[in-house]
Amino acid sequence: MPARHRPLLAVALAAAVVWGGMSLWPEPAAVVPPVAAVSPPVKPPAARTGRERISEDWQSILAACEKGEDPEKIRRQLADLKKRWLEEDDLYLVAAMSAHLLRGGADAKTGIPFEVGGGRSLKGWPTLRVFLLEMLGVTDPDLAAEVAREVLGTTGSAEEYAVALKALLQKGPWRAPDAELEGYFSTMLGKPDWQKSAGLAEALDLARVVATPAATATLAAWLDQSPPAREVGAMALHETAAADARLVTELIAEQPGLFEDQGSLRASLMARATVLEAGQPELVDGYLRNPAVSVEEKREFLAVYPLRSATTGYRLYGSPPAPYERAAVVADDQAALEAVGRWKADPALAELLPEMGRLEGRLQAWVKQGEE
Amino acid sequence: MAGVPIPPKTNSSARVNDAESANNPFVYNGSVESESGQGSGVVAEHPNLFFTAAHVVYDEETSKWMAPPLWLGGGGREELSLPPEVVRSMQSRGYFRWSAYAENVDREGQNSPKAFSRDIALAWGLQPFFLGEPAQLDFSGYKNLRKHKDQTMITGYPALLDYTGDPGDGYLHSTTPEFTTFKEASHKYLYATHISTGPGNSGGPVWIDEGDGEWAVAGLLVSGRPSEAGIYSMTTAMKSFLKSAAPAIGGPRKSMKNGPKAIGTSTMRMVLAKPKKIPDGVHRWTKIPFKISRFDEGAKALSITVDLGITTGHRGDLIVALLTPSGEMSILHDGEGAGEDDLVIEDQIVDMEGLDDATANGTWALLVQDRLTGDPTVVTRFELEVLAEK
Repeated sequence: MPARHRPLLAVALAAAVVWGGMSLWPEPAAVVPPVAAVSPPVKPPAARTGRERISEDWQSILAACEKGEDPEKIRRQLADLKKRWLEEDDLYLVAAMSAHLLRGGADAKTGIPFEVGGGRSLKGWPTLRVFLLEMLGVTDPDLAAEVAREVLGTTGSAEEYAVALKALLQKGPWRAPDAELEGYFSTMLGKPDWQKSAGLAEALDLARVVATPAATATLAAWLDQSPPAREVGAMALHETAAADARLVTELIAEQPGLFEDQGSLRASLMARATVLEAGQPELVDGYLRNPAVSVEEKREFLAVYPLRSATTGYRLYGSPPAPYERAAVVADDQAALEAVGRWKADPALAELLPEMGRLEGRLQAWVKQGEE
Repeated sequence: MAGVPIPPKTNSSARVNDAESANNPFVYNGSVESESGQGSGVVAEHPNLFFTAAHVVYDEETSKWMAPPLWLGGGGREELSLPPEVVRSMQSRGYFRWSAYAENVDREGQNSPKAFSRDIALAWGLQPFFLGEPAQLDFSGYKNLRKHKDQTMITGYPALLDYTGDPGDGYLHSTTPEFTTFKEASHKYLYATHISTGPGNSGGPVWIDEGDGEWAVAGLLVSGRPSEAGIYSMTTAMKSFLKSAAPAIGGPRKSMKNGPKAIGTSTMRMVLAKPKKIPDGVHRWTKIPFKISRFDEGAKALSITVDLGITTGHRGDLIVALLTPSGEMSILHDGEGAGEDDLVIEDQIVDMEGLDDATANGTWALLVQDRLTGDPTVVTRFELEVLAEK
């Protein structure tokens, strides 16, 4: 193996052994002289080692959580802790201690709801383990990916699972293979206890970020069962379709029974078709002429087609959705207008003429706006 | 009756006279029509964008997507003397709303504080809704409205005035500018008592006086009762909203780039003092910190520019990231250019997506990894320029 391709496995193992052998970072006994009944001198903050600082911080926040202190106060403490730990010169020390705590099972509830803020970072940490997982992801992505795989196999918390997945979606060499991510996604959606959890709701965005037919099919199959988090699931699938319409429209074409009990959802998802893309006009045509699709559903489709409204917001795994570009929208509207002209002339679609007329009017206005 | 205190008068919306409605900031107002009803809105930050309440474009009963709303500049009243070449009526092409809005509605109902705390929609058009410079947002509206140090007023097109029972008749209305006390009901959702508008005014802008006759949009009206108004207040999260819409309207314009025009800004440039060697083949970050403390306390970073030079034989071995004081990480280089040598980044504006909440003061850091052995790597040049609110 050429030298350039040799990972430094030995370094990582050595570090794991050191941390794995420690309890909550006691100072080596030999260093402390056995002075009887005298309070040890308190080191000024500047003289404390990074390890001492982190250890004291941890004990302090753990105690605050265990005492059940005000969650807002704990949130501020954690935000401050994050800032201070990231100011440590040795980020690997922060990472190693975070990994050690995670592997040791240390945890406490914070009372703070799970919340994602800007920059794919968390603003709300429901447990200290969720906080540690996030710290680990920033301070050492390699160790984070390693610990994440352990957590994904063992945790009972949807929020931990969601944050652990983030380490495997990190850009660069840390990104896990699609098949592995699809497997974790499928496992998560299958957990009965997590169906109403904030962690699962956030992790639904994985379908958009991974953007594979398999991940899309997993999300769609879960949503087809009308789960408790149906509304959030529908948004996640819409965001996936807005980013790449083919993923969803092709799935609907391949699986005629998909969303047959959720006609409005299927209609709006089909309305995200991008007519200019190869194969898409045929799918839309096939949908409109499909006798198994109710006239009511087709009317709902025509009422919003081509759907270019969207949802957005901060995300744990990817950028906030910004799916539509002006030039593509303008060109697609023009193509859709031409298609509507053909549909109107087709006697087989005569019962949809009023809706097609209204759609034509909207498209004419938009095409004109796009030309000006 | 002596001794009985007279209750404070409610500041109820009153019609803006025709001549005044052509002036700043009234000229940015419009009514908004959607399949679920009528609301109000304001053209802000870009002529092709208007803000309204999410519940104006979202029907709780069906949770269905609706056709994009119609914008009626100046309320669409043609008999008024508003210049038609400036104030236009047009169907929008689409809209954005927060994902969490529908989620909160689904969990707690459309009239819950949680739903109101996400109750905003941004409609976009292929043509301007207003020909000219649009209104500006106050991205610190959440903070500034609660300070009640500046005068505020709420404008829009109520169908009915809650407090007096008078009809709105489709005319622009405004509360009287005053020092209103806004309090927090749920994050970003504020409320004030003794102030009243009426149904149909959802999405109407809450203006804050910025001095010299300038007003900025600090929030949107989203709920109300005869003597109470509920407000969605603006924060830096609006920048993320605006970025989502930017490609749809053909890219951001200057006023969307957090330019100095919008608010007072200050710049800080930090330069690496001496070259820094990066350990070869080590899968850990080498951290090059820059401590910044000269901005005002709590100031947010608006724009970040980096200038970077790294000498190496294999650019593809390198991962380079920027860490903000708030802990957000942005990857600047992730191993592209295998087999090529030195990495040079010249005055690159760091994609601020997701860095909206980054505080300007604190420790910024360049993080570098040289993941494969065989080539010495040295950071020879690194300059970080942070533009922040004053």
